[in-house]
Amino acid sequence: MSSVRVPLSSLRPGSRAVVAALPPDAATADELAALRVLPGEEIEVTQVIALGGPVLIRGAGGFYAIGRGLAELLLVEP
Amino acid sequence: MSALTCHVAPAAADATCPRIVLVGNPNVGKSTLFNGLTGLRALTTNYPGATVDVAVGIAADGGMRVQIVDLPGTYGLTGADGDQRTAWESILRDPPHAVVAVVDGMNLARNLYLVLQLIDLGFRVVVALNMADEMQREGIRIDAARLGALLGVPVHSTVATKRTGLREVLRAAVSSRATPARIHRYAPEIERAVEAIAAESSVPEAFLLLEGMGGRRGGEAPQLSPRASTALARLEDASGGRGSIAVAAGRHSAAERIAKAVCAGTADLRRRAAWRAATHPWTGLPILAGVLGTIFAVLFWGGTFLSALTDRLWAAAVSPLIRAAVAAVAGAGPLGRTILWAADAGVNALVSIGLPYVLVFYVILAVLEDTGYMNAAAVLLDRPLSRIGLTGRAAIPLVAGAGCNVPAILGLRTLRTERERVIAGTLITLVPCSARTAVIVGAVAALAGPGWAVALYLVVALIISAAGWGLNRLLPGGRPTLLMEVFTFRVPAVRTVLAKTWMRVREFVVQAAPIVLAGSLVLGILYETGAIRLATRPLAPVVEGWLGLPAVAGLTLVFAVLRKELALQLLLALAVVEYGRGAGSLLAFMTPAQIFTYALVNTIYIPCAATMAILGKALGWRRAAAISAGTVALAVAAGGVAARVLALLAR
Repeated sequence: MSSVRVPLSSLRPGSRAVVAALPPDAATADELAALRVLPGEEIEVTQVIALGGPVLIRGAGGFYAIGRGLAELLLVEP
Repeated sequence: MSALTCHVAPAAADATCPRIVLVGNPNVGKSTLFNGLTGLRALTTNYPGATVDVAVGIAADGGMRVQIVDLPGTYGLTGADGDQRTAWESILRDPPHAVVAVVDGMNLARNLYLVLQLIDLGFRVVVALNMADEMQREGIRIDAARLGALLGVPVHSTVATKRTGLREVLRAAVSSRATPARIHRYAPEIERAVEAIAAESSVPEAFLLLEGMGGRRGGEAPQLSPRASTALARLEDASGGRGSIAVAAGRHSAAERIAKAVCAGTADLRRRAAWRAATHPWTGLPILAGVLGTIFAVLFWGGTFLSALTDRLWAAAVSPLIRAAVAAVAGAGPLGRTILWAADAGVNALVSIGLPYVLVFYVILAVLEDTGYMNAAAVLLDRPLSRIGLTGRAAIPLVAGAGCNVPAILGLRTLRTERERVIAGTLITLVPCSARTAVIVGAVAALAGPGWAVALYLVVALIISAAGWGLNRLLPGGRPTLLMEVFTFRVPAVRTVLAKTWMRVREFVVQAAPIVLAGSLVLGILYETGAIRLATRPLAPVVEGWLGLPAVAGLTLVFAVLRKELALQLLLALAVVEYGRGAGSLLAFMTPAQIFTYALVNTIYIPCAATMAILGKALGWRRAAAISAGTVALAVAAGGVAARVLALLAR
């Protein structure tokens, strides 16, 4: 198990990673948790909208668009 | 009468009229199920959070009336803002007789998360396993009986679009008496914490507390005994974080276990290539420009065609009848002429100016929503909108504002922060709604030329961007972030598009007709009594001096606070009285440049009365007043500048 934590925003399309830490804001963390974007869950980056657009991920819960700002706060282990 | 009782006093009417609440993830067919149950037509949209207002309807189970409440789609009851808060607050504060959890079998595991949460919080739950037909097409089979046994609640398969299985769901919900028996399905540390806290209160209270909703039922969070505090601390230690996240993780894995046990086959996102093209900036922005261009072209050609058609029909068939009828009743004197202002010119303006453009716009909007294009546009526009302090989610209310500002402002609830709601709310009031488009297309495009109309839209877009940029700088607060589910495109259903259009147009007519008629009547009285000359005088310095418009045009702008298209309708009514029938007569007393300035001022200054009222409810009266005053200043400034620039260009 790799221990390098990087922001979700740094991943390229097609890469997989395991969620390591949710953003500090409790409400946002709860919202992600309800979507099953949780520590320990695997996700795949399916698309990154160019020019600072959202990161699109596929998790066990479904397909989601995550704004770049939020993707910078969501830490993952590639 | 009992139906009315059910509407007005849902809590008190519980004994005679059980209240059933529909809950489910966004886009699972919940609103369609609601429509099927109640016969009412709440709007259903292929976009998360379209049901922004809580819809209430009455269904009949045998001889019994049942109140059905359609809550906004939600993924869980713990989210702290926007839609999700509206959803859980209402059912926690005022528990219904039963909850129908509408579940999409195509993504069963995630959908079951909400079902498990509802069961944990002590609701009587009935599961409607929806989209049974789509699951069959995709080769997904779900054992409904087994699912019911594992969850401990009734499960019924439904096809909401075909109204299959709805009776069974309603019957099960009405007849449910006991809350589901507690099944221990989570990890030991979670179960221990639940038990320790529940020993002093109840299982639902324990989950409320663990998920950070303790005290949100209206009271304070309860004091924990040493035993309960220890159990909670142990749970937080074991999960290395907050209790709510540990419970969420446990619930998701329980949901997945159940889904795996009852479900065979998986679904995947369809039509991904088209989706990628629509969301990638290099292809998506041209596609967006194409879509907007098409909207404008269809509005222009379709709206103008319908407008001319109804105008001709009115003049040939309806107007003579009304004139004869009014003459017979009220004579040909001042009284008869005053009535004709409303009965002939007012109604004529409504059906030939307001209605055609509203109708055409709502058909387009319904198609865009039902295909899921709005969802792709939200992803595409997230970055550009972040420059003005918004997220991609705001794209939907902003575009909907081009139809009517009122539902667009109601849609602000889908935005996650107050700051976003203030910025988007302000900008929506500047978006030319179909009423203002009617003025722009009907006067500027038709009389001055389509180029002038396009220029006007560009000027308004520039003003909206500048206002957004300024607000983003002025207002305190942080950067908003996008978080939404992504849906792929689907082929729009003709029935849904027509039903939506019908709903919205009906609403428009009901709202608009009384105001247009009353406004026309008041103006008729002012004109026929000669008082209009006095009423225009105080406005003259601004209207004639600064904006360079005929003083009477300023008066119609004041009346347009009632409804924006009233400006042109009244102006035309004045023109008809003064210069004879036909829109072309507007050119008899205004130049193309004046028409441009007139439409620009009309587009920007104060949202109409209905918009101001809804804005006051959504953002508070002080903000609504500030926004209205700000737009007047902006409109007068922009109009004056436009008049001077156009005068320079004409030289």
